[in-house]
Amino acid sequence: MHDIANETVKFIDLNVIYVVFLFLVGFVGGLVSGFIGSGGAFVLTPGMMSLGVPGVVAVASNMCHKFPKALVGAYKRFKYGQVDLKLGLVLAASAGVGVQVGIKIQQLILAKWGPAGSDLYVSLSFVAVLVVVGSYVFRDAMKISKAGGGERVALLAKKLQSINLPPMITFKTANVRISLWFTLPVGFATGMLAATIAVGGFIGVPGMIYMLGVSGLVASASELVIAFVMGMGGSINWAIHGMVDIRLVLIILGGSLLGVQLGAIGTTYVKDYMIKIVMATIMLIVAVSRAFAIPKYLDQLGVISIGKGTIALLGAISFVSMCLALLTGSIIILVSMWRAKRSSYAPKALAEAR
Amino acid sequence: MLIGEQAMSNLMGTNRKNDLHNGRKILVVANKGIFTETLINHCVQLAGRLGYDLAALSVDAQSEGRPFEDRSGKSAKKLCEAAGSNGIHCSAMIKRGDIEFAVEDAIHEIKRVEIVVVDSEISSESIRNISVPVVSVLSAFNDQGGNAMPAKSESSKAILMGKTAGYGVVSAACYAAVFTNADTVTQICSRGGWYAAIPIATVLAFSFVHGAFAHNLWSLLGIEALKRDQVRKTEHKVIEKRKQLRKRPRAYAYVNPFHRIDL
Repeated sequence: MHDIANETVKFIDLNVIYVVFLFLVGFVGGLVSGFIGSGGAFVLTPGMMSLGVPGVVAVASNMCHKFPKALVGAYKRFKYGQVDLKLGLVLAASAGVGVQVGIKIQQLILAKWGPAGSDLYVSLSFVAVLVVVGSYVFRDAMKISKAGGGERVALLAKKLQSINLPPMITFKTANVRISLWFTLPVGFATGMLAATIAVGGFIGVPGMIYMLGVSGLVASASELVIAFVMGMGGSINWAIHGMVDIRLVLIILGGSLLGVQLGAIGTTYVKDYMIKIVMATIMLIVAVSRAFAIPKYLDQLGVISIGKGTIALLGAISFVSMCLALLTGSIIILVSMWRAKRSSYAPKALAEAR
Repeated sequence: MLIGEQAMSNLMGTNRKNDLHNGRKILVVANKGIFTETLINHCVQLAGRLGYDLAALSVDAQSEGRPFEDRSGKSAKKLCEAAGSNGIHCSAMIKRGDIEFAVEDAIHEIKRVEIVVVDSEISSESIRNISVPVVSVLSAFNDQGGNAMPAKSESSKAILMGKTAGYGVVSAACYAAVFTNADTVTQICSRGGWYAAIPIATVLAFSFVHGAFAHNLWSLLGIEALKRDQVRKTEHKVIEKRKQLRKRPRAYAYVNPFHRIDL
């Protein structure tokens, strides 16, 4: 989040192209969110900024669309029996603390190294977290896929579950019994990452899977509960400061409410490990995208020196590859759904095919 | 008693892919001669996932005779056609009398029956002592075995269209109201302080209306969630029951290698 003191807020004029762009990005972001529990936000903020929206308004408007979208997605997946409400709320509590710490760190870096330093910190966080976690998730998903699709509880999670450190907490839907202490770092890291790169789920969902032993399906669904709680808190904060452009929020919401429901439906068509594949693919492509943005910040800090043309080109590649990440994720989701629907065993469909 | 040979060969005709197949089987038991659509879907999916064959059993407990044979023959044909289209070997039979005895008879006749799948309408009391794990599939209300009342589905589609249109109109009206007064609304929502409640309430209201429209729209387009939990829970039950059955005490034979054998 940015320092908003004394900033003059300017709301952009909208035209048809902007409206269509925001609607489509909202739809794709919602689709990915509904499927993997997070995502979309990291494209929307730079997407809005590329239209001329001030950074702080983009962040505020993004957050204001995120929490109702998460609410709708969580409700839909709750009806499918995928959401562990207790797990989501417990993690949301520690995520709230993580968000505050994340903001403080951002403010310290901003004060010491300025906007370029802050942006560099954000980009390095993106690359480090997304490459490490994304690679691990991808490798795990490939292993499961080759083994025939049966998801197993991770060794670390099994060990942590076996440690009897009161207070112990049972999460019924997730089918997990674990010490409350082990849920704190997962929630805290989720909040911190949300405050840093706007997508806490990239650590929240893998954290729930590999540390707590929750299945990919329940983890991605419960993440929506965390996103709702954090998003609502943040949105109220931004709205109190008058930073929300309601027009942008409603346009994005128009697309994302369609997408998030489709993504939620999609989770019932595919095997559980597909959620990991989509998440890991998006994470790795976004990591590459942010890596292209790093030279710009190093140039601004005077660490390296590169031409303006090169900076502009790298910036364009960064933005395009970020959009590509979302698009790739959406295509994987839609193709998987289409394949699953085609091979479903309804007798009526079979009769028609013959 | 088997269904007439002609009928049987017609049923088997669609399954020529696996003529020499002698694999494990799932025995599917009809409820009053009817295999419901839910039951058919479930069994075909289960057989596909486990790599088993299907054997359909209809038990004429009420001694109805010919009407039962006709009804059960048609219903079993649907099951076998669905199985055949997915490369699953399927056979069918009719028996008379008590369900439990009929099922046990079928198990011994067919051989290698690993699971028995029944409709939830069949009471658990009547199949309590089956020697093989029994799984009960919850049939959908008014599931008529593949002929789910067309009249009712048409009326429910009409209701769905109405809901979609209704929520769509309200959603469009809300968007029109905001964007025809865009400047005023934006100004009010960005006043800050206590006015923060306005944008929060606005997005929640839009989520409800537009969210409902989106939900009905996807349903109208035929894009709905697949109920996979039933299959997953069923498989889990089967695995658990087999684990329990394996714990039965085994008989051991000891052979004395030094026993003199007169050749």
